Amino acid sequence: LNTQKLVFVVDDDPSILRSAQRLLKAKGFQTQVFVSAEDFEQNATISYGMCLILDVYLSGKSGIESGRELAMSQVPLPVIFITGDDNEATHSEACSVGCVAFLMKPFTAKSLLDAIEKANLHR
Amino acid sequence: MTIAHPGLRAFLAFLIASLGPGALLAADRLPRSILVLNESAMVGPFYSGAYQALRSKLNATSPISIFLEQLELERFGGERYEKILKTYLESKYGDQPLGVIVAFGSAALDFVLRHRIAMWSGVPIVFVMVDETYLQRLSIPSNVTGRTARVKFRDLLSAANFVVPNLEQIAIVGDRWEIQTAFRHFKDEIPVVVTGLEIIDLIGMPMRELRKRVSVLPERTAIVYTSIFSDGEGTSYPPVDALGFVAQAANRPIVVAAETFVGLGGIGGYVLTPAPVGEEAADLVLRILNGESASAIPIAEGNVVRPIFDWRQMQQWGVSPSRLPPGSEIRFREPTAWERYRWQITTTAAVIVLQTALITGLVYERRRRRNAEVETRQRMSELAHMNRYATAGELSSSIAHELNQPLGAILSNAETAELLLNSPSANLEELKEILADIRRDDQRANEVILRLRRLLKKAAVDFRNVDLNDTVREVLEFLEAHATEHDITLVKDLEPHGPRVKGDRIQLQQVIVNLVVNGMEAIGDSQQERQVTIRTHFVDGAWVELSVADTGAGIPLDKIDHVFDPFFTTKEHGMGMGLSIARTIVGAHSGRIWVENQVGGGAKFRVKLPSTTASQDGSIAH
Repeated sequence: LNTQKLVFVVDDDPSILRSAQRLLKAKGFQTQVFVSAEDFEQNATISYGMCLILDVYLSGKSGIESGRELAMSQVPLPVIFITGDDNEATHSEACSVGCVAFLMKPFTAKSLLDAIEKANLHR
Repeated sequence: MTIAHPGLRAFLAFLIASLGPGALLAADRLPRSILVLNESAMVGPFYSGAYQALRSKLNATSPISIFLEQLELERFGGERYEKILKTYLESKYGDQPLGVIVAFGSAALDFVLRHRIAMWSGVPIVFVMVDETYLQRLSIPSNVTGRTARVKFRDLLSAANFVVPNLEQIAIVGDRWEIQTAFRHFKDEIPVVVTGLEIIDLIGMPMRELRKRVSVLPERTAIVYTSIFSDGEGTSYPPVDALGFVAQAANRPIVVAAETFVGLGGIGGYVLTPAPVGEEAADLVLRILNGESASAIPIAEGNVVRPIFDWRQMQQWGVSPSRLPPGSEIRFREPTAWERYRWQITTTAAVIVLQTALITGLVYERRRRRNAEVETRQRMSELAHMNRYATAGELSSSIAHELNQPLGAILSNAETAELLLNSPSANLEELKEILADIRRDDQRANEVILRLRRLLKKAAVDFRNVDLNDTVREVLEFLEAHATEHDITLVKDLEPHGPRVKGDRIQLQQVIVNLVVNGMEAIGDSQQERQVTIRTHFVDGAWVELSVADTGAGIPLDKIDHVFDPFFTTKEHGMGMGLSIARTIVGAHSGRIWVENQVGGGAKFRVKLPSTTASQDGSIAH
């Protein structure tokens, strides 16, 4: 497993997961996808990952909360927030947690790849 | 002064008697008894009318003895008769003290003046019904006064002109002038007064012939009736009867000169009226009895002629009331329906008018209310529409989220497909999958738009049989994203036998949206249990209940009565219209909405609507 290229994606929308996974795969990334924060926390080997693409609104534990916990954890992982909500408050809340990028759905492939690039530098 | 002692009274009576009947008492002591000498017989209504008026006027003050003698001078004449009459009166009234002698008519006055009966030499005389011209020929001694009767042929002529337009002839009917009493003077007056008219002189003609003549009179002729006392063939009768015989045959209207002739065949005219004659006589008698000297009362013209006409005769001869002289009295007018039933007609008309007014009022009120209802419904509909917009606004971030999800997936898929196509080893299978996904996500986005459009659609109110469960499901689908965003679980607990109600689907949806959104907002950030439960179930068979329960803090007791009031809100940005609109809509659906706090916490809104579901026993519950 090429940890240099492993990207985690957490979104409760299967469509988003599938499309993101396809895109990243086409660009040569390894991906692991999860439908909830809880699923990710239990099943992901965080230390292998290059970055985390995390949806803000999730059923169950929210993306923001999960990101916050991750930021304070032993093994920090760069987070790229994605959201379908154009809410200003959400944006600022996400930024306060600390993130590499905050992407509004729908986002272009380039903006996502730029964000991953940036995350890789952060690492 | 009252004389109490019986002896003294007897003495005084003796004293007065011994003075003799001729001895005149002092003027202020005239005996309160009078003698009426009537020139004619009392059988005719004229004299009897005058006499009755005299009597009632005299007796109206204090009792006066009235003696009456009918001289019948028009029937019996001559020196011998008068002599007998004089003797008769002398012996009859020799011992009778009299205050005043009243002479009715010229002949009576003539008689009493010519035969100055000794015993009456000092008794004042009052006359009425004496013709003016006749009076001028007499020398009136002192102690005599009276009122002349002013029946002038000129008046009869004038009446004839009123009755017959373009009058050309007048036919004069009556007994020989010599035996006439009240109208004797016409003989001299006629040649003076009548000019430019042809006179058809029928005076003194026997009744049989007269009746033939009056039946063939030329046009533009008026008949003037004076008086007839006999048929000229030996039968005598009162003049009113004679008038009747003439009138039966006449082909032209008959102008008369006495009130009593009106209504018996005469059309009317300026007529002598008996009542004022009697009243004027009574006035003079009372003045004299009260001390006035008869000599001191000047002889004057009596006011006893009135224009009076017979309506029936007017109809017969085509005389319109407008042609009559002003101030005319019309007798025997058939009362019109209006005159006869004035009260009944007035009352009926009033009732009809009132009823009409009432009906008009009610119809107007009904229309007004209907308009108001329509307007209210329209306002409600507009407000409800605004409320839906507001709801959509509140939900806009969820809606955006719902749209952005598929759009995001589509964009990523499209760009991936581009990448794959540019690579040398394009995997066709994968491309097919991508396109299928794009299509599915596009469909998803479209559904969101459709839902939104349905919510915001400004549709006319459309009452149908609606499945309440379907309505709930549609709403929850719409609100699911919003609930997720706020980490709230929406729980459905729906009646298995799809409850149906009659209503407008969009409005019912709106009620549910408002209640669920309200429930979600009631759950604050701090609440551990985050759940809104939507339940439908039957109540008593006839009703469907929809309840929305939240796990919030419940409603404070002081506010529970106001939650449905318009503009009542506890939210910072709320309009306070949601629950108010919900209540209005429920009301329009003949339902009821109320709220209660649950035992375990949180509020529960309950809506009861009439069920249209076929109930289990097969009948339709309402």
